Amino acid sequence: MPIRRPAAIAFAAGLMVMALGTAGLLLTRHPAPVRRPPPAGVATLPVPTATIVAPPRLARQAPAAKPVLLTIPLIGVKTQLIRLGLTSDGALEVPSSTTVAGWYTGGPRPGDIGSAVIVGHVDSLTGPGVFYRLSELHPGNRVFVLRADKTTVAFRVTAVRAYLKDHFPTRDVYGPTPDAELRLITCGGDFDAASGHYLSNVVVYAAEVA
Amino acid sequence: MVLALLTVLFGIVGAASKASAATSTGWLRLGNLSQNPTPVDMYVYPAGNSSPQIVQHGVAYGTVLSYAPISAGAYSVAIRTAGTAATSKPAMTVDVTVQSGRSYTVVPLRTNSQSGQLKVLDDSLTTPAGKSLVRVIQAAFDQKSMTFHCSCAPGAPGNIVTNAAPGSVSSYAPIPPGDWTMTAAGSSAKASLPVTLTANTVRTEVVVDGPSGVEIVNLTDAVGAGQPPVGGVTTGLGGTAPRGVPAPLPWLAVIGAGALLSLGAGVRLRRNGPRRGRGALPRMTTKV
Repeated sequence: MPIRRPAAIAFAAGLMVMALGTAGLLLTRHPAPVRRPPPAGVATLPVPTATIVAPPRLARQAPAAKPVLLTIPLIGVKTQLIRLGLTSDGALEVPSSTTVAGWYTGGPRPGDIGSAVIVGHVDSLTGPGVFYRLSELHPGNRVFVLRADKTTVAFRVTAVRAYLKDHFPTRDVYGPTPDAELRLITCGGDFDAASGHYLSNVVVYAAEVA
Repeated sequence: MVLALLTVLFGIVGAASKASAATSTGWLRLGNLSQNPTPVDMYVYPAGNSSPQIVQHGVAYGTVLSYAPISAGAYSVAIRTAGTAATSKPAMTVDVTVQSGRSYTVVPLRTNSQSGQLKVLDDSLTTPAGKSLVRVIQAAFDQKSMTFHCSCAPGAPGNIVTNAAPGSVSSYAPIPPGDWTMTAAGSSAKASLPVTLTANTVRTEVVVDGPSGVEIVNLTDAVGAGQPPVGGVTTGLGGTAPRGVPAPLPWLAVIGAGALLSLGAGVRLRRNGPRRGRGALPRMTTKV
C-alpha cells in the first residue's frame, strides 16, 4: 500500500495536468476579451424627400448655453461633461477620468452653428470607458446634450467613421460647417502595446434635429 | 492568424470609410433680398419633379433663413408672391446644382437694370488658417452706390467693397479675428455694426434698406473651431484591447508533461500492479 499510493497519485496528477493544459489551450484559443465591433463604416443619412413646409426660421445669433450632460440612450451613455482645452503641443486634451466625457471649449457649443466636439475614453487600463460602445451607433440614432440653462438639444447621427490617427481628418471634424453639428470622438482599431495607444480614432458625426 | 484576419477586415472597413468620406449631402438656405413690400413663397423642386421638396411661406425682404441639409443633385428654386397658388406660374425660377459638402444661398436680388433676379450664391466652407472670411451683399436698392468698410487690423482690407451697385455680391475677404466695426456708407445713408469675428468663421454682411436709412444684417455662413486641435485624440488605455491569440506551445508543453507523468506512473502501476494487488486485496472469507 505505501508503495502503490505514490504511483497512483502521480498517475492521477498527470491526468489532471493534461486536463489543465487542454483547458488552458481551449480557453485561450479566442482573442480575449472579445474585440469591439468595427464602426459601421460609411453611413450618410438620407435627407428626407417628403416636402418640408416650414415657417421661416431665421439664422440664430444668440449663443447656446454651455453643455453639462451628454445622453446617448441607445448605448447607455449618461455622463457629465467636463471642459477640455489643448495640450502644450496643440493636441486635444482628454478627460483624466475614463468614465466621463469632455467638451472642447475651443470650438462651438452644442446647438450653435459649427461642430461641437465631445471626447471620451473607449477604455481604461482594466475595463470599458465611457465611450466603449460609441462605434455601435448608426445613422439616425439620437444623441442629447443638456445645457446649463436646462435646455436640451437633440442631434441625429449622420455618419460613423474610423480613421488612423496618422490620417486624422482635421478639416472634416473641426472645420467650418453651416449648421449646428456634433462630433463624438474616441479610440478604436488596433492597440499598440508598445506605445500604449490605439492606432485609430472613431468619429461619430451628428447634426442638430431641426 | 485570427488576429491577422481581423486586422485585414478592420483595414478594409477603414479603407471603405475613407473612400466614401465625402458625404452626399449639401446645404441650401433661402432668403429674400429683393426690396418689395410683399413677401414671397419659396419652393425647391428636385429637377424634373413638380412636387416641391421644400416650401417656405411668406419670406419677407431682409430675411435669410437657416441652412437646410439637402441631398446632392439638381434642383429648381421658384418664388411666387406670398399667398399665390402653388400651381401658378412662378415669378422667378433658377436652377441649382447642389454638390455634396457644399453650401448655397438662393435669394432674389434687385439690380439697377432688373426688377429682380433669383441668384444662386456659392457659399464658402473653408477659411484661410486662423482667419475669418467676410462677404458683402449690397441689397439696398435705394443706395445706388455703397462702400463697405471694416475697422480691421493693419494689413487686412479696409474696404471690403467700394462703390457697389445694388444687387452686387462681393467675393470673400480674409479678415483677422477680433472685434471690428462694419460700416456701410451709401449714397444717402450710412450704418455701422459691431461684429466679433473668431478664426475659421465665414460671414455674409447684407446691407438692406430699412425704415430709416440702411441696416446691416450679419449672417453666419459657417463656423469652425477657432483653434483646431492638432492630430487625433488619445482616448484609450487598452484595457479592453483585443489581445493576440496566445501561442499554444506552453499549453502543449503542460499537456505533454502531464502525459509523461501519467505514462510513467501508469507503467509503474502496471509493473507492480499484480504483486501489490495481491497483497492489497484481502482475501474474502465468508461464513454464513
